[in-house]
Amino acid sequence: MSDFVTTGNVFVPALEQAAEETFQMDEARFHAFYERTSRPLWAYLSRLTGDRTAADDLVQESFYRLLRVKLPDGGDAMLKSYLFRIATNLVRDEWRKRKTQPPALELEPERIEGRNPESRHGEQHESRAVLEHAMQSLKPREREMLWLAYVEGSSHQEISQVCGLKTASIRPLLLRARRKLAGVLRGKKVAHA
Amino acid sequence: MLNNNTCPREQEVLDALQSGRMEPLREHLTACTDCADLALVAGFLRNESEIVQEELSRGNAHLPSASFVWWKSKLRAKRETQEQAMVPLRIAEKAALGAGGLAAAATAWWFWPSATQATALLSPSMVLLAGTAAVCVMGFALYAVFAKE
Repeated sequence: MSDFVTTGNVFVPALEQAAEETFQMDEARFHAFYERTSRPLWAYLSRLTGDRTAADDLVQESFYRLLRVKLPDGGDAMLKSYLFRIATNLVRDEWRKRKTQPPALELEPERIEGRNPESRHGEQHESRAVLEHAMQSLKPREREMLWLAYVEGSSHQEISQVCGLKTASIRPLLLRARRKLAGVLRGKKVAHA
Repeated sequence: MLNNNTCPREQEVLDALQSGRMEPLREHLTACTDCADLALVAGFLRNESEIVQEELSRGNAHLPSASFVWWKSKLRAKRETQEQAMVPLRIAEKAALGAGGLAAAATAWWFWPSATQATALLSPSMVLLAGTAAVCVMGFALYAVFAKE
């Protein structure tokens, strides 16, 4: 009877095994992949959504969907692209549902030690505040592209896969977003570079 | 009209940002607007990423463990598989309920003349008792079918 589990008064064959068989990778590979990608994904999502709790939920949802989606053969780079694409689509769905732009990221100053502007954390806090205000002037897609290009170091092809755009259109869009953000940052009169 | 041409030294700027050695590029950055934009934007974004990573390391931001996410995903997949497996059974149950209802209606229609004749012979209290019993049985049957949902 070990092949059967009961659900109410009905027997359903090997549910547990059937569920795990729908996963596209085994547990060991998942663990390794999660350790490598969960932090960058969380950072990306928390920046896009401006909401840490939402980022927590979206990370879990993204990994779950990645486990269940049928993937073509490929390495971890391809998997990571898929993961970010899933996450990006989830964020867009969330915005569509709310019909609003993402809220501002809470800076949570009480959590950042050393609020003295001379200290490193003080500078970080100031830098975050400037970036936060500047990012608000960008479209969600521009934020996605800039983060992927300059934090994740993604190629134009990878960005096009994640954002669902043509590879050829990434360069001009990225350039435009970069100029726009740089203009706003300069407007804040903060020399960072 | 937006100029889509970029400076060929962009990769150099990104590499310098990565290594933290911007000094050799200072002159170029004052002359090239594109590279200055790149250094400014990439610098801010990477700084933000470092802060977030630091918060995660310090435990200020919570990220569930791989084991927890795996376990939760497995539970959810199991539940979804179970729901999928139950779909044909639910359809069959509904079909059986519909067929039973139709059969009951057909039987009532078929026996209606003889039933009215029979009730004429019975006392009103007996008719009331039989009607109540029928309603109770039907109610219980409907409850048994829908209670699970």
